[in-house]
Amino acid sequence: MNPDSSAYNKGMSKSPLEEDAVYGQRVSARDELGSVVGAPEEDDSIQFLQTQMQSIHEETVAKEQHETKLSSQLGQLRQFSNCSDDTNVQVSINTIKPKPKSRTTRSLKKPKSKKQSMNSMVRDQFESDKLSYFTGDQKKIDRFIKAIKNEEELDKVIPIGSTSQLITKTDWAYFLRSIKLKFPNLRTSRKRSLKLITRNMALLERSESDGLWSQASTMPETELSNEEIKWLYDLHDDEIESTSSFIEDDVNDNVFVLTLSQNMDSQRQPPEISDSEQFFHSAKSTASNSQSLEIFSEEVNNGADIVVISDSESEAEQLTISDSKSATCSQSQVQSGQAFIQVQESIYKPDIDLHSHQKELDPLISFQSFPFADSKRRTFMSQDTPNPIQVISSSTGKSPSVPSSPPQHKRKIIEVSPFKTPTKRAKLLNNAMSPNVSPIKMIPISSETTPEHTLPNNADEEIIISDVESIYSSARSTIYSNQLQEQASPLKRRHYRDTSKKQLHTTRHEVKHQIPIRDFEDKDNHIWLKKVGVKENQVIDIEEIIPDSEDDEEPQEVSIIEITKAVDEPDRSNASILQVPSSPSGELFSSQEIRKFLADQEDEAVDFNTFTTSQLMEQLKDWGMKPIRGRDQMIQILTEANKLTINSQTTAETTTSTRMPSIKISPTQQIMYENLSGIIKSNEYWYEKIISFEPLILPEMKDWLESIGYKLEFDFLQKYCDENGICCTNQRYTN
Amino acid sequence: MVNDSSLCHVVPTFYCVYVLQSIPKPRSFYIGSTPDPNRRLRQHNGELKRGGAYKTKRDGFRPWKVVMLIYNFPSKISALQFEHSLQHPYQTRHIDEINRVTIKKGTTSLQNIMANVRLLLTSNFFNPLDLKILICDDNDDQSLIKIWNINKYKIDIPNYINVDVQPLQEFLLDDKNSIKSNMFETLKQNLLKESSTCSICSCKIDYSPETVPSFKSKKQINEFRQQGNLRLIGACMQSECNSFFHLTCMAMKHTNDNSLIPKYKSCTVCNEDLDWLSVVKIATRLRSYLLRDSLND
Repeated sequence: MNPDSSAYNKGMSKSPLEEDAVYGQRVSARDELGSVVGAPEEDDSIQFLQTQMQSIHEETVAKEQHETKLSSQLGQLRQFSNCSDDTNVQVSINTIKPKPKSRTTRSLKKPKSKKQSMNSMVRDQFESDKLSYFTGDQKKIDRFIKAIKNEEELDKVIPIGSTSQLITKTDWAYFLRSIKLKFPNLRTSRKRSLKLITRNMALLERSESDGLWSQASTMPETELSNEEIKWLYDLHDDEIESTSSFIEDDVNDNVFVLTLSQNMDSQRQPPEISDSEQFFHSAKSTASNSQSLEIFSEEVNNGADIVVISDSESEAEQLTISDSKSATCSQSQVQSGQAFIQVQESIYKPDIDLHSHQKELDPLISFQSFPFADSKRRTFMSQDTPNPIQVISSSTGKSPSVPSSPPQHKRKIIEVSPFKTPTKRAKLLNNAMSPNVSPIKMIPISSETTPEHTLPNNADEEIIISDVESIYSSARSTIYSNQLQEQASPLKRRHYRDTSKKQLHTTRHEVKHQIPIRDFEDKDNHIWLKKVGVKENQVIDIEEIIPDSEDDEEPQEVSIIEITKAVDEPDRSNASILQVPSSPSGELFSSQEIRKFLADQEDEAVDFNTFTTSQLMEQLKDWGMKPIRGRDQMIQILTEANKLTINSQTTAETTTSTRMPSIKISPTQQIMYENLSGIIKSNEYWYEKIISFEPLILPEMKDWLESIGYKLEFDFLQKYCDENGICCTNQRYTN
Repeated sequence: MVNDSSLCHVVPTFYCVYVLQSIPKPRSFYIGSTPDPNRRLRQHNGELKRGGAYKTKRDGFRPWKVVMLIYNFPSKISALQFEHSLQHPYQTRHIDEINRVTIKKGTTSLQNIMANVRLLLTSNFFNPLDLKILICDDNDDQSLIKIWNINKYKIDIPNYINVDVQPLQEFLLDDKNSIKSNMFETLKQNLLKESSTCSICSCKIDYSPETVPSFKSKKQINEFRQQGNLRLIGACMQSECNSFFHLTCMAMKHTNDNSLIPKYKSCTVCNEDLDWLSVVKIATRLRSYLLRDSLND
């Protein structure tokens, strides 16, 4: 703690007044300082002490600030670590009940993400055909943009009319987007070039379209005054995006999402915007910005069916038809389809007289005119659901007080909600579902070795098995309901080998933190355990956020475990009506049982040939091996490595007292490593190498293990050595 | 003639990873490894002309001082691995990504380096090596040990890891190593003179140079070893005991089921605790002595 010279100078330049002020402090602090600096008694030392104090003070303040900052950062980071050292991590389990079969089939496309940079746009553009970038298209565009940048007269660059052969419609759209990205703040005068493009596009459109209608519906050029253009391009990007989602939604053929009425927990409900609503929004902006849409819809569409939405009625009607088709596709009532048609009309009305009615197109007003939204609790009877009686109702008006109460009805009540769950999630779920057709057999998990991985066994953990469902589960239900009903329905029991009088019940549990669980099948006891997926709190697209939504949930990962269990068949009289477990007491699985499952160990020879390739990849990853190409190779590696798990004698009691529990390795890996250690110990030569800390030469070790029947990969051995503190090299002796 | 150390693995008497700090520019650090920190420091400071000191040669950075030593490495390679990990804490596989304190290249401070040393000491790879730490605090204000104790990133290391505070020269003058060489001499004489037995498996230990054939390559030695010859012999270092044992016998005895390196071990004859690394050190040196003799013949 030598006095900092700069601080010293600072102290010297202090005014006498300040000195006096500090003097009092100095006296009080002198004792402390005395031990550090050995304070001199002379008056000169006063200033010296002052500087000392100041520097110490500054140091401590800086330190404090840094520590608080650090701790807060650490706190934030801890949320992401799924395994903390704390043994009393609260694990809450929410049980999700099987959902009734939804009548809609989902084929959601991920909404086009907003283009944020030129690069990403170019990437998107040429992703499908990378070579086309070099075939001159880009050169054309570059020249174009360069011209704009240099403020040249655009007419010189692109002679109107003659270019129609050279520049295609897509190119024009691409131009527009490039310009928008490159020059976010384009000067008004320069926007004339945009007008030119628009005109060119219209021209092109006219020349290409063969129908009389489309020609007639094209916007006359004279209508695009400078004033309009200015107004047009001052649009916010959001609005432009909404037009793009309009096109997207048109592609979607599903409008309805079926959810359980009791699931409508409004507090946890993530912001959602229904298809129809979105459609409506976009339609609104269509109406208000029909001219912009003329450009931008084309830009987004790139050759889809509807290219130009003009003020002509016929075009709008075309839209309506397609959407009503989708409505009928989703097998809802004809009424709803009609409702939609009505919506279209009401929305497109302002299109007729665009400029005079712009202000009346308040979103709120038109929303209220949306007949579907108006009918707050309209219910329909379903027609073609086989066994349960399903009541379909709109959930728009569901009050927040009702949700999360246990269901009162014995019948399944299905709600048709106009709300669409975020598509990202739906996609995630689809992914989670697809590979699990043939469940992977249980691979032994030792709960003792890695306490973070499994559910902690101490008593103070909090396991909540409740009926309260998140909106997430409802979103899920639309996807899983199909399968779930198969498992739960007694009629379809023949899907399983078991033909005895047992009924399969599936429960779903949400467990906080990510828990590595392997799919598990116990045919003797008719128990299936399946990790359905990991739910993450997703960042929802800005467009989909409802402003007043309260999404205060902390970002956390939730593992969803699905357990199917055969139970004695309940009273046959209820068979026609499928019962939804409504209270926690009716749970098929207690938390102890779940734990038991997780801790359950079972040695089984796994036939990797039955695995799908993606399952093999996952298995490789799980065992800490690098994914490689070639299915046969993967199978071979896994089969070889699996020998280590089969030959286990002492798997149950793992001694990790001397080892740090590592989060990097899975329980299976742990067992494999221990077995490998056992193998090494049985060979004196190799064991001597390890206990004498001789750096192992991995190729030699690999050869040796291969000679005694264990063909293991380098990276596996490397990881083994890392975990066990064995020094190893990859080099052979060059002797 | 082949150098004896490359013939067979020998635990070096001393090998350390050191952290240098530039005295004129105290924010500059250098991490290296050496069996002789004193000589290496002089190389870094330009006092010795021979020996590479490229990175510490820049104007305005000399002289350097050693702030920290991590020693007791059982092999040169493990020391080099530690050195590399400490030089690249943002990417080493021995620090879990979630635990890292150094996220990107180029962030160095003493706190940071010390935190990374702590992290590496707790890693599965370096933890079993029984490494020791020396903090070379020759300032009177003991700022270095304060930084170590403040432990800014709150990384706890196991209690059994030895942390010494001593100026470097004092540490090097400490007679720890010479005692061991004396011990080595007496043990060697004992082993060669009389035929002894393993105190655990009661097998006869035949460690006379006559039985060892001459080798031409390392491969031959390894083949010979794989046939069960040249087994490492450990010895109890208590002067009144001096019992011998096969290293593998001792390790087997003190490890349950599948753990590899024994953590707590004691001599079966006199029940004194054994320092495993010292035992291995002497055992490997005895073996290499045997081999060297055989080659000299």
